[in-house]
Amino acid sequence: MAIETHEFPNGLRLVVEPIGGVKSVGFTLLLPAGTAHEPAHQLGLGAVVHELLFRGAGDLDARAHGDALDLLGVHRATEVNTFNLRLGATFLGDRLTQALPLLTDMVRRPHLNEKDLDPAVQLALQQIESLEDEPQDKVMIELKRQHLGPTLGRSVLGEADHLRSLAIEHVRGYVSGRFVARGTIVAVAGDVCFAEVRDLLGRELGEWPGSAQDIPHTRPTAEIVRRHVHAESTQQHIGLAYETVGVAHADHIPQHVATAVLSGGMSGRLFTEVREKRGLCYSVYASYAPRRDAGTVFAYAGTTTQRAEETLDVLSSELVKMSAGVERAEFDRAIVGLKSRLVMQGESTSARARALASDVFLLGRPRSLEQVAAEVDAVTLEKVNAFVAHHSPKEFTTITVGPRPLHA
Amino acid sequence: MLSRNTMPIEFHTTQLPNGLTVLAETDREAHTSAVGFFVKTGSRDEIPALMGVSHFLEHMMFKGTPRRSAADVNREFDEIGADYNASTSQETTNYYAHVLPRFLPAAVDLLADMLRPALRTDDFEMEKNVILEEIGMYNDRPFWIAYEQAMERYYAEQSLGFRVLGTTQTITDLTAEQMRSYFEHRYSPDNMVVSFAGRVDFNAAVEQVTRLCAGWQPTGTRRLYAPVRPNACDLSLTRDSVNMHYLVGVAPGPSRQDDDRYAAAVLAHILGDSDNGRLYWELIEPGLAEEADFAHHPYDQTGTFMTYISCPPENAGKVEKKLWSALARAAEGLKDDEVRRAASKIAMDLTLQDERPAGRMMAMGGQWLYQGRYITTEETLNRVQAVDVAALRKLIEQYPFSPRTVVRMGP
Repeated sequence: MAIETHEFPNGLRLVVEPIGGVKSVGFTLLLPAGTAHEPAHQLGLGAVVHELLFRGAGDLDARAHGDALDLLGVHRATEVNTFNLRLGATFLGDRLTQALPLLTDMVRRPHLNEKDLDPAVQLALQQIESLEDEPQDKVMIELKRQHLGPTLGRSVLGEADHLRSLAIEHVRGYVSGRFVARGTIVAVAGDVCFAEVRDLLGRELGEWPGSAQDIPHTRPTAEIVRRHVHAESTQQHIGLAYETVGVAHADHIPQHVATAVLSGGMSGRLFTEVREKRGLCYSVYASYAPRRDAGTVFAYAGTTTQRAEETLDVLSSELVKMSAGVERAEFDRAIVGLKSRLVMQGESTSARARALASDVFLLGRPRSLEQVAAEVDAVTLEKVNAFVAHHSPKEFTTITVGPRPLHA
Repeated sequence: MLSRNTMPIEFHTTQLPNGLTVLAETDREAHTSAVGFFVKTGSRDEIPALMGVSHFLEHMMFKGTPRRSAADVNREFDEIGADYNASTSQETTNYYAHVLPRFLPAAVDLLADMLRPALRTDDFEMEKNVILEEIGMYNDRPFWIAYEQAMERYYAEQSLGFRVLGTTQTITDLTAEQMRSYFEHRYSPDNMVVSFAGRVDFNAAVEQVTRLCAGWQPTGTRRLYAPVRPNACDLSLTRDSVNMHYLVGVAPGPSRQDDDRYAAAVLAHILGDSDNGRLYWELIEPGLAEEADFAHHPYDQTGTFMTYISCPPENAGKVEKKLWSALARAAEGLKDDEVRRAASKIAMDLTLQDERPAGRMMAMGGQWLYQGRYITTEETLNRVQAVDVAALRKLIEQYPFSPRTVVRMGP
């Protein structure tokens, strides 16, 4: 069924994809309140706010609000990333009229009680402390920070001293500045009809004021840095990053294809060279994280210390070698994998809602699965090889976490 | 509530003469197809010297067959765009693929071939390194260490307490011959099922499975059900490199076959649901602990309840006291509302599982290994919705989270 969009007079954007043969509804609401928007001395506001959204909204206190959502069987979660604070939910289509106002209340009328600030700060501080016990996650957080710089590279966990100095006024000020209609995107997919969602959302959020500034998606020029972070871990964790194109660039699909050749399945180059042939690690992968005007490829491997240099060498050579081009067979496998994943995405109403919202945010318009499949089909082996010849890296931001630094 | 307004889903089953069971839930309107081989073997079926062999074998199944090399296996999965994986637990080892319908026969051919692997010695020696790396990766996760220690002590020497990955020692010492012998014995066709879901032509699937697997010889292998004697134990471990405080608690609970497993699922939600459960309100909402879970982990003819917390070391004493108090009071104040909320959330989980062929394929495979029959989502839902306060009280009385093993890990 056709995707329909609507922009309300207050600037709120809605996209709806009715899907037949399902009973569930996926719901994603993106607010222009990501880590990149946090005031520079209040890093962690996002972490605190996304926790507080569950502590009372509209006419209901935290317990009554939670109970109401539970009784309707609503799965819900919030998360913060660089550009957005995301509220996601899944529920049965026949619960739409009751579930939607409970969800929109979380962003339109959150209580943000002062008494809830300290517990939320404590939980955020604990997440930072836990990171010391999660070196696999820590390496990627440090990598993002090093590679993307002081605005785009911020950790979603915030900074401990900033968190400790937060007052409820900071939270309320941040929410009133960033939880605004113009800049917010709502995506709904599944057992719904467009008109009903539009009317319901109009009732709940139609009067919502405000507008938020967007920020640039390009990373400030930064030198290539290699850094080691000490941790007494069994494994050495290696993270590499390099800049590439974003979704605004005609070649972002060739970049997806190139990443699939590296890391799409067990016949991908990284798995084959680092794990299968050399037994260097259990976990190795590369992923492409596009923004609007640019994007980053991140790569990871975790290995026991004796073989860390070899792992880093093989990992980086494979990334550099991509510039020589990919073979027909690799290209074909990458394409069939990408297209299969699209069909499987279509079976998940929550995955569709997430993808539609992301499309509207990055591209300004939603794409149907057929449209994305057509974009994939339009990529040729020649286009991919032309792309990698001009866009493969020679050096990388490198972060290692483990008991000792790696030799050059 | 879960009735479809389009084509019905149909269930089919047959058993080959060698004991291999084939199950299928066919849906002509599905956009994808899923298939899995579910083998009734895991760390529970090992002896101490072979600890980790089931999981290592799972890895080795991808390393090639008499007619395919490891590279061929990996390449062929990717050529059909499969979303595929395998997993090993205490009791089952599963191999599955989710594909576009036109690739289903190719996926079946590949999986069935893999289930009679070459187990070459040089592949075995190379893959040993990967297993040791995996053990190393988990060694960096304090929760995992506490969990393994808790299971070992709770099951004190019984095989359910064996580490699924094995130890560095058992893996280093393992020989290819020992693995081949374990494989010959345990991967018997009458010890496994093949489960299909989504867009599947059952007759064609049976014809193909028969062609590929009818020659597999049954060995009569059986699981040994030694009486399970839970062990109460209290252990505190320290490690300098650990930053937070972790606790894992294990106590008896219903098994995979017990009728009160549905009540157990509801209880787990009431206590442990991270959005709004009782442990959330006691420990997470006030900011005392980052995580506080309560879960039902059932096994074959025995079962456990498990609790888990992670908190700052300075809160450990207070958090633990509140945890045991909350569990001791589990039967207090139980209301219909609370039960209905839990049932609602579970119903939503089932709906989502229903919408994915891979979800149904996995559910059916597991159910057949444990219950030996097909259970519709409708039936599961009815059983969950039949749970009431009286049933929960009876359950808690029978399983009061005691005797229990508790393992702590902190700086």
